[in-house]
Amino acid sequence: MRSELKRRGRFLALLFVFALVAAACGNGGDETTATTEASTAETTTTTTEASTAETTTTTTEAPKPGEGVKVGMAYDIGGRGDKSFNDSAAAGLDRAVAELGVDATELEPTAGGEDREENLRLLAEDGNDVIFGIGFAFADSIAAAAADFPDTNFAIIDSVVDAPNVASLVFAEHEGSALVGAAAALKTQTNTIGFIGGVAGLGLIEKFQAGYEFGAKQVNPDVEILVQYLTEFPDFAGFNDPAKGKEAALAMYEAGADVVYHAAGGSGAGLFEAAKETSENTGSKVWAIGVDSDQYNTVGEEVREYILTSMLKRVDVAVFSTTENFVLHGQQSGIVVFNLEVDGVGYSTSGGFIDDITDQLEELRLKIISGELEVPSE
Amino acid sequence: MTAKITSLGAGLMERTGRMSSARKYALLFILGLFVLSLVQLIAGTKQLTAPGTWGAALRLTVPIMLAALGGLYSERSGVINIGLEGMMIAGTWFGAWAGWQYGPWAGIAFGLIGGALFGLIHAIATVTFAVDQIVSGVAINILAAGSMRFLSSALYTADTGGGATQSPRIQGFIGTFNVPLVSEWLGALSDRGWFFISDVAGIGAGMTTRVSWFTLLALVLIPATWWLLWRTVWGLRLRSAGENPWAAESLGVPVLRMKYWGVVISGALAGMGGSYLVVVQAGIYREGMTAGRGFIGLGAMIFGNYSPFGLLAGSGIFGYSDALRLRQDSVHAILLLLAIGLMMFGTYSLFKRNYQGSATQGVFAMLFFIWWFTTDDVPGQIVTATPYIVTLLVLTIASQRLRFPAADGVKYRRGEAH
Amino acid sequence: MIKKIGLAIVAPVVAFTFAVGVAVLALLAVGVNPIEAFGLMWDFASTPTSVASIINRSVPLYVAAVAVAIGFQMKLFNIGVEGQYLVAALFAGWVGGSIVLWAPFHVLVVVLVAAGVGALWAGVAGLLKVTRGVNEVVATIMLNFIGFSVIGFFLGNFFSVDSGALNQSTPPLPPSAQIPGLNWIFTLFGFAEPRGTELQGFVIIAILIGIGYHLLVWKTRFGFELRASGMNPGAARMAGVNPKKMILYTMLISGGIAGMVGLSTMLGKLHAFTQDFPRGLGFAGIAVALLGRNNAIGMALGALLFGFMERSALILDLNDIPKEVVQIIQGVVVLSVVIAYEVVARIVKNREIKTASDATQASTAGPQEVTA
Repeated sequence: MRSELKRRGRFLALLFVFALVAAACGNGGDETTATTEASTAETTTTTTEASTAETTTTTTEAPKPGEGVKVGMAYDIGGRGDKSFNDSAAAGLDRAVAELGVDATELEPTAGGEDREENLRLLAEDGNDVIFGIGFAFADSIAAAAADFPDTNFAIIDSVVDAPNVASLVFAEHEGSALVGAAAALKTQTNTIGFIGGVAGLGLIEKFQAGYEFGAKQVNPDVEILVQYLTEFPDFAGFNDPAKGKEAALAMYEAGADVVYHAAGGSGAGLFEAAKETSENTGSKVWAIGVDSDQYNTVGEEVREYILTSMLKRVDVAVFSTTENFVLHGQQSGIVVFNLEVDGVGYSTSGGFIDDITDQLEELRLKIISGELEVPSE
Repeated sequence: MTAKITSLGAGLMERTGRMSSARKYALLFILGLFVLSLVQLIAGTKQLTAPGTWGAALRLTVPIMLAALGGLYSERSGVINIGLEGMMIAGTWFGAWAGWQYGPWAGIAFGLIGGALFGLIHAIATVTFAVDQIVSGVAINILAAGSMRFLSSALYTADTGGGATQSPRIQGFIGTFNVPLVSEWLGALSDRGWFFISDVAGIGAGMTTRVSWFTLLALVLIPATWWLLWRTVWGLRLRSAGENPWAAESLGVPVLRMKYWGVVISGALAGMGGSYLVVVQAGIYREGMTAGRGFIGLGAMIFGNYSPFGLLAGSGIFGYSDALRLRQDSVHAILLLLAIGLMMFGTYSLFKRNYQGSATQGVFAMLFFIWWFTTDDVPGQIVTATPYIVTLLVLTIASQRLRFPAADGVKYRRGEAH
Repeated sequence: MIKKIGLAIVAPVVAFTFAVGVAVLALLAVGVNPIEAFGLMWDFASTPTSVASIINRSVPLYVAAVAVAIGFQMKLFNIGVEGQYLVAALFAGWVGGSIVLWAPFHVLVVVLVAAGVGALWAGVAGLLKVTRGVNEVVATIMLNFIGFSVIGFFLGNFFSVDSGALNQSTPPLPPSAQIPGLNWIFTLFGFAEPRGTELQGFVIIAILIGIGYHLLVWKTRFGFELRASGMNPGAARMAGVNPKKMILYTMLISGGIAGMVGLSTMLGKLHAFTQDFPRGLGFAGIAVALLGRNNAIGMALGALLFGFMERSALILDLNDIPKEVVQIIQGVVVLSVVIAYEVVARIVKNREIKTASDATQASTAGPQEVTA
């Protein structure tokens, strides 16, 4: 018993020493790793810079308008690589860096999400001129931070904050959803289509649903629309449960739907799997409609052929244009609505599956833009 | 008149009392199916016994069941395992990574390994160092979540098709199969629309059509576990480690080693459950996709009274309620099901002379019936809570007969006098 | 005495070093200089703003830890703190926002409602345990999920105020229900005032809760019975302790304290129960309770440690260092601290056994002493 303890005590001591040694060696060893990393990084940057520099030199010789401007981006949970919402924002930022020459810093909160306000303040203190809060969860945080940093321009997506240095970028998701709803209703051969919402009770996803139903009924007043939400607020798991998403989709396809639209973030992957599986098993192809980004481009090859279209929420356009406006015109505030008219929302045509109905969709789009049709938002 | 009924009832009680418990459960099952058919008829819905519903129920049950089974091995060896969720998370991550690199079956294997790894950590902490088992479990959950995030952000850059919270899609897919002949026959029968017969056929069809091979593998583990734990010497040793480790040790059982096995297997099974989510259902790893299934599995296991078939039933309740919930307007019929079920339970209690119990059940039956009758559907929030409420209800009603391993949770040290 | 304190500290120090070691390895594996990373974290965390932020973060963790610890004293596992504090915060927010009272009284009402609802929610699990023998781990886990549904139901249908910003919340608390901040303490001591973060006044109440916990558990008869029931239920019953009553009371008190976890944020900062009310505090509280060994001061240190780690992680992101490394440290710390405690405890025990056996041998060698 004693020898056992001695052994264990020694084991612990050894670990302790090992940790210390690792820390000490780490310093030295790390330099080599650091230098190798640095050189690889440098090589890649030089090549990209060279090529971009070359292209820009051929077209315009002028320095980029946004150089020296620092842009900060505070993502919501998931950061870059969430394959939809955040990625769209990231794309806009990348474009701003490439075309306007701004300096970008990106932050994301820890899984609890409490650090949003602190992230914003960090960015402000770091000297950023424009700071984006991506998502409605930033509303309170942006309000507080904007009050303390009146010289910094803030922008929030999906929410409205009333302050002289905050630009509220809201989207007309219902209008975009109306277009894909029409597409679904036009393409369905069973007269039944479906909608899968991630989390009910937020008001946000209900907006997508309302637009979808409206658009579908415009084209085909008798179409049957199945609706399913994966979870209820405050359970946000509905945005991250592809297994449940797949089951919900399978249920809809079984019930006769042949086109299903999702507004469920990460759970959408399950919808695409369900579309593939159902098509393969029944022999007749069923469709899925993506959301936020052009999901045809972001999903695996095996499932992309089942994606009819995607409702594009052009967060990238919002981010880029806001940055551009700041660079060219200075601080902005107020509500900026990204709707169909300004191409803030739309639908994708990747895959060419809806080429035959684009005319009708354009007709509907014009009607909505002109005000002839008004899409409900709840 | 009342005398005749009571004597009839008493006669029935006597007859059922003499039946073996297997027969009793079978009878209960058939009765349950009958009630389902009845409810469907009255409520006018086809979803309660539709093949699609039961197919989905099966798929939604398996991950929970695997986690519960994992919990079983651990608890039977005397170690409480709250870290099932973390082990499942490891299973999803490793399953997706290996599935992406090598294919779905590799995904299963690696999911198993990933879960077992965290099981090993839990074992080292609780068996060798005799740390409080709940502590270790909670720490495992934190550690697993953080490590998987770390690995994701390190390995999945934008080029691979993944990101910090999502993996690229796995290659290929595990195939499904239909039980030959049975599946089609039952499917046809279910389409006929005959009361009860078609309903039962529908359930059968759902569970024999387009079943994944992984599902079959997982289900086989249930009788395999029963056989392993209750019919082999190895299983006896494991259980003795959980019931009375001191006596076991005196008989030469390597108690510490058995506990290690119990906990590592527990992690492996939970990891397997995680890989099922990825390989059969989602096709990717998505952070948070386990959504508490590890904890639910723990609940299912306790609900199932620490036995393999019991936990299958417990997990099944979750799977079935979840499947129903995802089908439009089906949960409303559950109210009627509860009403009728409670009514029958109340009658049973009446015959057993448990008047107080019978009265409570009768009242609740009435309440549920009124609720069903006066509403058209159940508010969404209550619907999502269905499986949890059901588990709690069943535990409350049946709880007195739960028996956990006598030395579960006890810190055991070798050579200690007791 | 010094030896005692020394021994008590050895375990956490060793464990923390081990956890740091693991983090170092992880950082090295992704090509980051750990010294630089830690340096950044330390520099960042020592500013007054950070200190205020750290204290604010640790307050709810501490309260959650105390709630869990009370249960632990009796070997009751209240895993339901998460559900309890969210449900409690919802109702407290609604009540608080719907009435107007004289300031201290208003705050008191909000606190009481929160504690009451939390106690009720935990009490359900406790009741089920004493009347039907339902295992409290399962019951509280189920109640966590059911709690979500309850919140969704009430917030969606009855309580919420349409703020038009897609963020549902209960009616905002009027100023009479808001606790003032304590930033002036910083200036009092000559430090710069924290920017953007208000040191929340609730920390005073949290300290009181900690003191109350210590007094309750170690200085009252109830506390004695509590610990006795946990250590030796058989003996406790012989001594006349009613186990069912103990279980019920413990769950009620634990739930009541759990209900107050969200109050620091609600009274000091958000002033309402909003859609993104902080989550996960319940589970983090469990970790802190374990870290602090159910000891009032230990848990405070544990909470501060967690708060420090979370705050300093932010600076990592700004410098492109994966901040999940902090989560890994957290998990490893909890695990290694408890392992270290066990090992140290065993070393101490064995040393005692040795001393005792040496003493017995010495006394048997010499003339026999007649013991009274």
